[in-house]
Amino acid sequence: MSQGGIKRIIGLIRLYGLLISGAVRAKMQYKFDFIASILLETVMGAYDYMVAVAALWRFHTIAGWNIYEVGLLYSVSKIGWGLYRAFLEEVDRFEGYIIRGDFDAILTRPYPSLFVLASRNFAMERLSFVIQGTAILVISLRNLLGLGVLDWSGVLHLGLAILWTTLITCAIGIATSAAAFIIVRVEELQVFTQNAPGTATLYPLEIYPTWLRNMLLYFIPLGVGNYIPVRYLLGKGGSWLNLVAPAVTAAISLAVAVRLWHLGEVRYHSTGS
Amino acid sequence: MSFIGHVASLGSLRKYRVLAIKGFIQNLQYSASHLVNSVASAIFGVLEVHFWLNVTPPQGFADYAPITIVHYLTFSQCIVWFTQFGIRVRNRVRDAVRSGNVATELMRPIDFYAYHVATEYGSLLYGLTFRGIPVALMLSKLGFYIPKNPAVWGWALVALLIGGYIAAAQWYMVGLTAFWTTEIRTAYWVISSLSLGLGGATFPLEVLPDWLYRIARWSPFACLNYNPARIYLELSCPELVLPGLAWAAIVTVIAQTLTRAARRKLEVQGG
Repeated sequence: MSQGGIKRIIGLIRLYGLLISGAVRAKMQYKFDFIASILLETVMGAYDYMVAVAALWRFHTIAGWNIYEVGLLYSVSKIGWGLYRAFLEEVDRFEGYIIRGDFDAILTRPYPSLFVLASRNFAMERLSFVIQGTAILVISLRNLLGLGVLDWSGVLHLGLAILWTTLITCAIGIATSAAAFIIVRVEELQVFTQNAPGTATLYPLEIYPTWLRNMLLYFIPLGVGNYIPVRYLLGKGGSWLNLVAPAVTAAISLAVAVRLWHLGEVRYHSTGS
Repeated sequence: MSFIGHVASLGSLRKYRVLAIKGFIQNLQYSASHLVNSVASAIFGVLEVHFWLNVTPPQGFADYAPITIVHYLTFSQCIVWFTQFGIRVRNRVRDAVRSGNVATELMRPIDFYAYHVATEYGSLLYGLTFRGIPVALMLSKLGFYIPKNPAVWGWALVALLIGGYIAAAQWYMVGLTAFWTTEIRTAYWVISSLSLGLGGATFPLEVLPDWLYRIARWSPFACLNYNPARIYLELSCPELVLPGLAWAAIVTVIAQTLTRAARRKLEVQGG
């Protein structure tokens, strides 16, 4: 990369930091309300995990996975989702920009539109998912490390799985929001591409029929981010390729998503007067 | 005139019926979008069915065989848009408080609580028909129980209508917290988690630990999904509508009391 290119990236990072710190300061005006709502959402938002706890408390395993093993799947997925929402909240809410015609203002900035959108907000309240996922991860790791099911190199790979899951989630979020350039409203589409697959990948994929499993691995590859590496790390099948596949999938997904975004941008025409 | 006297009078009944119809009709313009959402809702139903089929032992548990679990979940998924996901009333009350329009609403010669609940009930009935029936059709491939006895249909419908009323009242009360806190997110999280978890929306309550099951089955939340599903699946007698009736009366009293307190608390800002 040329020196000019590096300088531009450093400049973008500085600008991003500046804009985000402003957004965070504005949110922290109501500290107590903010912290209280994050804590509450952390506890109350763990509903899906509580369902799994209730089920596995009574029936012990699901497709051979115990509650701590399911906890790994859950935490990797939830942390990835929380980081996506925290960093790309405005991308997730992108249909509003199209409906109100606000995207025109984004296009006037001398930076890529995805960067401008991301730097408009850092949704700290979404960190409730990260806190929740981390808490469940710690509980699960304590048990699995204690039993020797997992070792510390496995923990390192789990960290990477969280990174890849975050990137895959970001890619799916960007690709879904890019559809707003054409169909304007994407809220219902997000339920298909993000919410339902997000819920499905909280549990081992072998419980689903083949068509659904294939969809979660090849079409909306959220399952590649958490299920594929975790299954291998827990010794439930697969090979070292299970640790590589998420990185490759994340790179391909992001490239496709950004390409779709740019294609959408080209088709964009303002709704303003 | 007492609240019951007011609501029961012929003129008022007509008013609230009109409001409910308006609430129903308002949703019709989004029916295409809701149909898409119903497909997503059906997918969630598929996920739940496969999850529970995998954890349930072949001999079943309590009085649920594996196929009964499927029937429970498919029925429950069809009614969630009636008993769990009412969202208009809480946002409407919150927005009215935030904008100050609530002052005008409270001055109207109509009961504030009944006005909002009637409109919400219309919306919920829309959810039951335009979202519930498509979901039922989509999930029928997995297994959807059809009772042969017409009386069962009748009693299940009664239980369901009561559940819908309790749901509308609970979401109204969530909206009402805006009089004190402006932001209703906290109340929403608490109530939605309780109604999903203790209402039996995504699993039969017998799955819960015994002590929690005993609390849940007598809570108002059980009247949302669990009781109607038990009656519909012919797992319980029609008498199970009685707790629902009692809770409907109790939540009405609580909602009315809170509305009076909110009216006294009201503080509208602006020039």
